[in-house]
Amino acid sequence: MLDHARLNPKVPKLTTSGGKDGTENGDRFSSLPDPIIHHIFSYLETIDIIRASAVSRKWRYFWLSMPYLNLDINTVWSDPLNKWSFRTIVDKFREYVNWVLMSRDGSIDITKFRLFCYNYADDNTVYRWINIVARRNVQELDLNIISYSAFELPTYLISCDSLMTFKLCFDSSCVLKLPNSGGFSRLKSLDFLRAEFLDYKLLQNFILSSPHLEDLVMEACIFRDFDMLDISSSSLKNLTIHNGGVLEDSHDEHSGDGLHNCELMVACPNLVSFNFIGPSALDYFFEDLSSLHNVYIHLESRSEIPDYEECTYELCKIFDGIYNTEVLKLSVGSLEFLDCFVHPECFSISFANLKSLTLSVGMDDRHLQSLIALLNFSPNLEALKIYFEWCDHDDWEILDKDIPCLTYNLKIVELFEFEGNENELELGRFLLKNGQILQKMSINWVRGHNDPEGVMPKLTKFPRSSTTVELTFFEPESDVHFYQL
Amino acid sequence: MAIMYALKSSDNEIFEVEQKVIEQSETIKKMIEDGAATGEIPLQVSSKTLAKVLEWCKQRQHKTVENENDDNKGKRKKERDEDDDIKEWENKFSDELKADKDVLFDLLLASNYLDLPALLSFLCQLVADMVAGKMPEEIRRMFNIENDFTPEEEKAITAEHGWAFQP
Repeated sequence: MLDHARLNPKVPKLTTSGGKDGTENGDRFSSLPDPIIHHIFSYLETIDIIRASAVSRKWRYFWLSMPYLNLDINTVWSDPLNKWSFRTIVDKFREYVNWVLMSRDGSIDITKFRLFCYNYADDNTVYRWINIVARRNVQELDLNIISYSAFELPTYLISCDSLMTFKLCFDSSCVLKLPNSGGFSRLKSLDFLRAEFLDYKLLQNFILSSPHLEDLVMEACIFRDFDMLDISSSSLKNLTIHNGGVLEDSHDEHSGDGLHNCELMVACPNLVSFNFIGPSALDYFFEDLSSLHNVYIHLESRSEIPDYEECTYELCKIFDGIYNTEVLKLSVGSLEFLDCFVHPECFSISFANLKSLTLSVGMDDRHLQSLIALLNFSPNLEALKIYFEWCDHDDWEILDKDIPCLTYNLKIVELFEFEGNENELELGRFLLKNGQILQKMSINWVRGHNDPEGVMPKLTKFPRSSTTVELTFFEPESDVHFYQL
Repeated sequence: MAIMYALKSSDNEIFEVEQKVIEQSETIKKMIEDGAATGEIPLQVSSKTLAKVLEWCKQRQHKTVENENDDNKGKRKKERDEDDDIKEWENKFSDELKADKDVLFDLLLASNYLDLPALLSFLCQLVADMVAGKMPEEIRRMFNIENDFTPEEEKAITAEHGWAFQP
């Protein structure tokens, strides 16, 4: 073994070769300040840094002082399956991680630890590694685990005082065992992907008992036999529940469930942003969301044959809970959710604080009705984004009438995936005609539009109420998706 | 009228720069806020490096382009060309730096000193990409690094983690 103490551990002085013009042949890299070297190395996988550690004594020191580890079974070797059996690769990877962790000087913290590995039922290796990094004051932990058995959140991780960010991703759904009491002591940001929870009380208590938790993401998670998913937290600021989209690619037959048979309770007085994507929950209970500022809802129907009454009920419950928000982004996967807008008397709602509304809109009449209704509900709206989705056509005809936000507040309109069909033009006409203080309307063409020059004059000739409105046209470089807006 | 500031390089060259361009630098922004930037702002950065830094800052600043509705066609094309220009510019910028590593390292230190996080990350990623997947000898050659291990030490390293050097 190499004697580490004999190597030169001195930190190089900060040197700038300011005025010199590039004629010198010195080793500029090695004399960079340590934080910059660590920044550069933070973009590398640990295996690259180990390789680079044989460059010189100083580089060896850089490796030994590196506070980030990035260990990924997929990238240590190129094309390993050509050389070894799967089991051998897993063994070799275990040896590699063990070696990396052992070769570290115990006095140097491992602030960021990223691991991609396998976990077997009869094997405690992963837990041992987590234990080591927990004792080395890990702040950011990113685990990608392909697990063949239930995974347990170890107590030494939960009580780890340094841990601020924790991301736990399973390759396919995996049961996650939570502790019987208590939660993360210092954790701020928690992200679960494809975790399966078995006990409603434990999860509720776990979130409630993590007093510093600010960001919570639960993506493609399964809430097995839950009656209610209860997220009550006085520290939580950002909450994302995402059970849509990604699930379609999943191999897991259960993963599409979402909150199908489960109620959702959110009681977070400091919640600023709330994202809900996926099949609707059975029911919604929102308490004390007075801080809410930013909401993104993409709602799918719970059943294959959506029921108008159910859908109306669910959407109304959501609107009731989020009425405070300043920013709302909304799209629905089933038209039945929009039936209620045809009879706006269902709603007693007003989005008095809403400043920015982003809507995904098809060409169905119900889409138009919902858009007009939402404008009516939002007297203080300043910015409107509309994303046109393809769907069967109804012919829109919009009656000109006073809508408070158009008369007094709406300044910016942005239209996306615009192709210039009659309905889109009708909406453009309506907004230009009634937007009395409109300052800007931007048209983003659908990608690869073949005749923007032919459509443009149709829009520019519409009468405008606002003399200062500026029409701008953009051609996207790549496909624009609703979630990106 | 845009507010202009005068930056003075370590070799006493003066650069007149718009406030919003130079405020990307947290260091200079703080100097301005503290009122320390009344006349020329002296910087410990050479004129050659400072010119490069400002090249980057101007390119970053140059993002919002707006059109007049009566000149849509012409401007739209111009804008698209400008987007391509930015990518092309970044590639050219990277290639130049890879070719002249002294400039690259001067710029790294300057971005650190001026607290330009976006430029610093861009450059660190660039250097990391140059190192990734390379063997020690290649790295030494690329960055002019002397192998200061004794033969015994080198033998020990190979014994300790020679496996890492097999591709």
